[in-house]
Amino acid sequence: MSRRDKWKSARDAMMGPLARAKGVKNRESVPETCCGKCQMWSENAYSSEGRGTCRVLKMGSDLNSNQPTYVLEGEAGLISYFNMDASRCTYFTKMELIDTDGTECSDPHFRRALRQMKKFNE
Amino acid sequence: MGQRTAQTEKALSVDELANRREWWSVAQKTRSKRLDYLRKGVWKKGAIGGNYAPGIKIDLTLPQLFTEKWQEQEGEPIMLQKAHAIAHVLDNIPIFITDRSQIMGYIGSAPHQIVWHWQGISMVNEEIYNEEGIIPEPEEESLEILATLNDYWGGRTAVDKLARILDPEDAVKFMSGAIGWGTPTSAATYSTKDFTYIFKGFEALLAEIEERMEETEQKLQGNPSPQLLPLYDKLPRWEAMQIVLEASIRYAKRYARLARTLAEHFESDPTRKEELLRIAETCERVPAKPPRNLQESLQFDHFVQVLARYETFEGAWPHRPDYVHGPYYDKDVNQEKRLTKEEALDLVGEHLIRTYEVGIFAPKWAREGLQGITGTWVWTMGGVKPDGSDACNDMTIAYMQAARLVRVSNPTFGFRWHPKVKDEVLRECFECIRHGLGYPSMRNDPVLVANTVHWYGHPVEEARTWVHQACMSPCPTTKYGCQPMRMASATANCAKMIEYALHDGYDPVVNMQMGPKTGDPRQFKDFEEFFGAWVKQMEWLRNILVRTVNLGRVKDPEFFGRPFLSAIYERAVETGTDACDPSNGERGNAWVTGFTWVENADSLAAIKKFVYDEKKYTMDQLMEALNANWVGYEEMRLDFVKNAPKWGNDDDYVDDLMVRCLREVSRHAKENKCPSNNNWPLLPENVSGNIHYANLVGALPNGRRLGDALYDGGISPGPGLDKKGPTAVLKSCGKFDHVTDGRAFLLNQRLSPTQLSGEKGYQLWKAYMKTWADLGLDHVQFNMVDDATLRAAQKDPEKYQEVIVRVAGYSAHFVDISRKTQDNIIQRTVQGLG
Amino acid sequence: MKCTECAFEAPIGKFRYLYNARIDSSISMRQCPQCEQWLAVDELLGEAQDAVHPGEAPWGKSAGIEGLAGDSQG
Ligand code: SF4
Repeated sequence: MSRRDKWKSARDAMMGPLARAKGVKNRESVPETCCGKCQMWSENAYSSEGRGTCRVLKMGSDLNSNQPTYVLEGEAGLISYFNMDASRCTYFTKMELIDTDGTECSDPHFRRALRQMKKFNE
Repeated sequence: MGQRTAQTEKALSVDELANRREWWSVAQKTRSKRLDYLRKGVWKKGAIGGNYAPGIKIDLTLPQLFTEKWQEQEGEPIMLQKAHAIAHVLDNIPIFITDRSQIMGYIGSAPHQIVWHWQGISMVNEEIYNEEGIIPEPEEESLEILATLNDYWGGRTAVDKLARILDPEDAVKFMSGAIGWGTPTSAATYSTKDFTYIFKGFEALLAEIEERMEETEQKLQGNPSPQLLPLYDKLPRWEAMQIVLEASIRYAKRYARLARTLAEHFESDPTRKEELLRIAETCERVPAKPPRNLQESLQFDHFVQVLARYETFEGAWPHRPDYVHGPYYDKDVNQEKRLTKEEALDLVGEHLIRTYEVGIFAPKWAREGLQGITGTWVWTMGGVKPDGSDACNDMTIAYMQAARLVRVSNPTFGFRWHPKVKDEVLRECFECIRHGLGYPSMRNDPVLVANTVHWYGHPVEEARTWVHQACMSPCPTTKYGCQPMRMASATANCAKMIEYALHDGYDPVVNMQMGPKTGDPRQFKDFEEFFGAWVKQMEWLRNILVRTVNLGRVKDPEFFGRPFLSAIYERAVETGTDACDPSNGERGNAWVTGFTWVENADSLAAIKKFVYDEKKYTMDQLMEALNANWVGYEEMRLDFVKNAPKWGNDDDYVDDLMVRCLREVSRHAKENKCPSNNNWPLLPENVSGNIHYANLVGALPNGRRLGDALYDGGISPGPGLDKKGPTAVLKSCGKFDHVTDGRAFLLNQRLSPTQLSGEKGYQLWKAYMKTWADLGLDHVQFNMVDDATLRAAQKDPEKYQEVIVRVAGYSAHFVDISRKTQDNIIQRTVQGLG
Repeated sequence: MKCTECAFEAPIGKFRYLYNARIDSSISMRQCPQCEQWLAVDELLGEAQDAVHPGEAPWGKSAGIEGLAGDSQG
């Protein structure tokens, strides 16, 4: 894969179809096991639209297929969303302390200040 | 007799409060009833830490009005399509008049609502959907509206379009949130405005546009040639400008009608009735025609600022209101005596309050990086006229006095100091600082004029018209000097330069190879090799930001469109172009804002001393400690903090490294070119980006851990690390050239309110300012609130709502910033003068 | 390390690191994962000292003259 194609797939994950959940239902759903509740997830500090990166898996990993693939080498971390279903991810590690207080500032490892997460955490 | 006693009591209590330096209570007791009412009634629009205050809601009327018209006009050239949509908003957005108010105009349909422009960035649109607290009731219904808006705009926004053509690697790294902030579109930006042109009145601008159109239409009837072809695109742009100017006049007249209706049918108080009729007369006059008096000039100005924000998020407010409004003040107060000083002060104070009131939704990075405020609205005061003579006037003084009365945290002032500034004006600056406002920041005018000429070749007469484009960077307000779209996205998280040099370009927070692979530092043979790696990371970081922003800039007319801004830009009107089109003659005034800069010098000095010169630790040991985030290495960490040289102590060991880093960047700044083929110098300053990035920058050799606040920015020494006194700080900062070694350099200093009380305090400060000026520094700003007050405000925020602190490049109410930011400010060294 | 509020005990790294308000001090702030209280922690000793509430500064006053001469205001 060329450099351009490699990064294209990362960009598409970041700004492509994944970024365009349709309607209220998709936007509100927070599965029991999802990246936002995983210790490995780093929320993006740029925006709270739900995007983040996995700190173990790299781009090319696929958690949605029946037999998930895990890529551990590469230049770009796997881009995922706080409410991405992670029930098949064997690397999922549950967070004990989820900080949803938005009055303190960005802490990609601990803070999930999204309205949907706050509701879930209550 | 009884009356006198009451007055004495009031005077005494104000004096007492002043003695206790409870300036916020002094303000409440001394401002007029009108200002007190307006000040207390205004909604807080800046985020508290990262969240909006209770009660603040996102305005859904504006995006719905905009989108419905936008969809109707689908297929038109973008500027025309947008002009129709804006006009539809201006004709239909609900308007209101606040009781006792004299200045009209608000962005949004109710005073507790903040706006956002859905055409800019779909990421931010989604963020609004996810945001806690701001969704209007009934929530379910609002979420439906938001989801519909987001579904429509997804993929259609300016940044979505840009992301498709950017190099995908650049797009991902830029949007990673780790290396910089901002958005490469004028959807979130700010613009310089030339009021000498704008104050001709919109009818005059419309006539000018009409003339250009007629001229062009005639040409188009002539012999076909390639020269004629670009003219076809100009006509719809001019038409778009006409549409928004006409809609703007109608918008003002809606206020006139409302004020007149209230006066004639509802108001029973004769004084207020008279005021409402004056408001009606004012809004019928401006912005259609030139202003004739102070109320009209302030109203015209405010309408322009409001209208610009109906078009886009203008996150800064470049302005020089004392210069613009000074002649009208002089006419009304001094010559025609139409207004008393007190009446003028009411208008000026309200001008500050109406500006403070403006609220626009800021994405997370901006909320956290600008805690407590909507944007960096630094108004420029003082300075010189184009011929070099003193420009300070009575309005300069009126703004300073009004600021102390209304105590808003936005706008703040930057004062252009020069050797001819009169003592009475300097005293006003000091009083504001002494009252704990944290502003004005003091700017060295001769240095900054020379700097503007040096970096971009602006003619000196034009450079002298400069305003703060955002918090720090000067920009001329002239036909070719005005910057329509400051590219805030060229804002670098500079601590990543040293972090990437240590980690071979890899960033563990986003699990990505970000910078170039410059090698494992354990293998470097000497400091020079390490420094070489730093230079490569610095160049990479600047390059990616500048590349992205340059592309965003040239594509902006195609992807976003600015009909209103173009209509008030002389060069855009003249050429029938979008104001943001760099081909219309803009000279260029770009800069890279350097957040978290000083960590580089302090870390390099620690590495040089301990690893290479003294060989006290190996690079292996250092890397182990850093990778453990210093946990388990506390003694070693304290050694790196306390015994490695630190910037700001007049120590050549580290100061030389700082100068070396700045010179490397300045070399590179001339290799980076903006779309006008001009330079990209560095401007170290931070706002509250040092807190926003605290959890994104890993452990560093200066002794900080992942999570610790970064230094408070610019060239300010690390809090508590400047141990040799204020002169040593100034001497360190004076070791490089503030004209040629960068664009401007922010310096925070904290002074003791006890020491600087009374006349003696003023004289001490004045002597300090002389040293500052003699050393050729371009900027300094002060906090003058003591630990005890700030700790008390942490404990009991309700009581201390109007306590203000200087964060960096802006001021905020102390209670509106996060605890980490508060502690970071309290830990700054309190410098003793004299 | 043991939380001074709820007695939760775990290695220091399990306590969420918040920040060190004063870089030249070994006192940092950490958060107990169980009761979520902010704690002042001596990083040299690896011990939680006390809970930290608004307005408290276990790492002491600011550097500079304010730290040397007490200020009358407050
Ligand atoms: S659930 Fe899996 S993919 Fe998601 S953050 Fe955790 S480890 Fe990464």
